[in-house]
Amino acid sequence: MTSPAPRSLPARLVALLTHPVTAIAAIALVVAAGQILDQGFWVTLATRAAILGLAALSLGFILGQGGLVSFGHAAPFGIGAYVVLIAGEAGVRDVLVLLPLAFLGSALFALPTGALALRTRGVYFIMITLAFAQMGYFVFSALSAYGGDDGMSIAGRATLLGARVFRSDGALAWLSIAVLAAASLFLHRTVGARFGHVLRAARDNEARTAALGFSVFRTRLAATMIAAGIAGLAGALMAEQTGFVSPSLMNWHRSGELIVMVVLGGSRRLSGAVLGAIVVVLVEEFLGEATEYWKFGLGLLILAVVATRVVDLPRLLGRRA
Amino acid sequence: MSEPILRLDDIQKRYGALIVSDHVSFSVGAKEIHALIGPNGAGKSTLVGQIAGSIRPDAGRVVFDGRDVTGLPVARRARLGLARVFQTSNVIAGFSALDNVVLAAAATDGTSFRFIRPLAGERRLRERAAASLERVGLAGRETILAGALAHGEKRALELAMGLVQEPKFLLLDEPMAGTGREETERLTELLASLDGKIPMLIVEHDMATVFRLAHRITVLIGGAVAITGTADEIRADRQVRSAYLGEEAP
Ligand SMILES: Nc1ncnc2c1ncn2[C@@H]1O[C@H](COP(=O)(O)OP(=O)(O)OP(=O)(O)O)[C@@H](O)[C@H]1O
Ligand SMILES: [Mg+2]
Repeated sequence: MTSPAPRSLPARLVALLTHPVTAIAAIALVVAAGQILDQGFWVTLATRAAILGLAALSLGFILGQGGLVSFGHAAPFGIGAYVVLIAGEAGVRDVLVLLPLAFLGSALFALPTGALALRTRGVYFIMITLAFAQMGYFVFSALSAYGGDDGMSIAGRATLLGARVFRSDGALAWLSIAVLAAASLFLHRTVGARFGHVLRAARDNEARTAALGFSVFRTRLAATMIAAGIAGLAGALMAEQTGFVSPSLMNWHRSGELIVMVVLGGSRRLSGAVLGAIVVVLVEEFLGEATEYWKFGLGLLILAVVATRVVDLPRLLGRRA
Repeated sequence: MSEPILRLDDIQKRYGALIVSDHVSFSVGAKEIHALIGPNGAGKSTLVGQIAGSIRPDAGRVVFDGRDVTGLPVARRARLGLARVFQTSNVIAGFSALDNVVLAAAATDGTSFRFIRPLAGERRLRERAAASLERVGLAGRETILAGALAHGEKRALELAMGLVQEPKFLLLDEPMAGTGREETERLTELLASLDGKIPMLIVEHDMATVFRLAHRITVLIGGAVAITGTADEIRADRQVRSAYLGEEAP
């Protein structure tokens, strides 16, 4: 997947912009600057970008590498958040327990739902993943012990080996960045490893890949579970940041928004998703207040993206996909 | 003769009213090159699909290497040692020629679950893949995207993907279709060099190639086996001559 050395200035710029480290480093810089200059808002915004970037990254893995257009990625995201809420109510607050638990919970959700969804193709896959996410939405809406429709505040921020370090927004920001960096490293390795090759081969030519002897179904199911687990980590971090968990985390809007992030950043490149997440978070924060049309515009964008999958930021900037 | 590598046992398949496999039974010996011929639409590719597992027969059994594989999916059959070359070029267009073969070689381990080590670093696989490319005459074309290869080269690449797996059996659906004469001859000689090493079932229209390679030939007409026999027996068969070879019966 390595491309030859870029020549023109715009090409170099895009290469730099889409380098896996760039987006994460930018988020880290903003957090550092926010802490030094005592700008809490910057830290909060950067944390949000890191968390949504993590969720978008995981979706980008199955969407871009696997060609699996899931319209239900908000479900594992929301489940991760609910794991934090429910575990917190049960007295489990340590981040070293919460994060693996969130990963597992979301990955396990993807086992049966993914297994069913992967029996379908194309637009049916989009619809069935959406349907599963909506089911999750209604299931958690019905959990009155955990706030039902309205949602509920978490018992308190997570601890680290009993220490209440994450009471500080800065510490939570660095935790989010660390998780994002670790997930990004793992997924980039996987993309270059055998697993990633099989995933892409199946995306390009399923019959061929199966005829070689690879179980396309098992490969895709594993990818789906990994992606769901990572989305669960993002959801858990989101619960920590906002201190509040509600079914709206699993809303189909969020699934669509994640797709927009992935496609904006260029779905073929794993690193694009984090970039796309930064763009969406910034637009939401700064243009979202200026204009009421943002949500409507986003809706149109989602439709356009899902229908055509042609919006691709690096490609718009003049580089072949 | 020892146990056949492949045995078709009363295979039946229909698409609506159209019967595409009409009680087909024949077998391929452990060291045999067996040709499957017949007019367009005779049901050759459908039969190949049923052997490979991409198409399920309505009735009958496929026995591969002494084992009933009728219910097994494509990937399982491939892992048992059944390699397939498709009728229409079927490569991973976005991968380089070498990566296509590396992937084929990797498949012989039977797992996709390697998450960390770069595929490019699986040295043993790459060496095997490069050797296989050289064998089919694609040395020097390793880094070209498979989708950008010439048609004949794609056919050769598919063969390289099959050979690198060191299969127990090669299933070839018109492997030379659409290649130039020279290339056809080269690929034919390559297949001939595997005679006695890898048994094959080869679907082929070019009779010169068929007679050059095949120990035995099965003629399929209208989904049914018209005759199975040696080249001489086929040449002598009146029914085949009039129905397929297009010659007047003497
Ligand atoms: N999925 C399908 N549904 C309906 N009919 C089909 C299907 N696949 C093949 N057929 C029909 O079955 C018949 C046999 O097709 P098949 O591809 O097996 O022939 P073939 O012997 O390989 O022909 P060729 O020499 O042209 O490759 C043809 O009449 C074809 O139109
Ligand atoms: Mg055919």
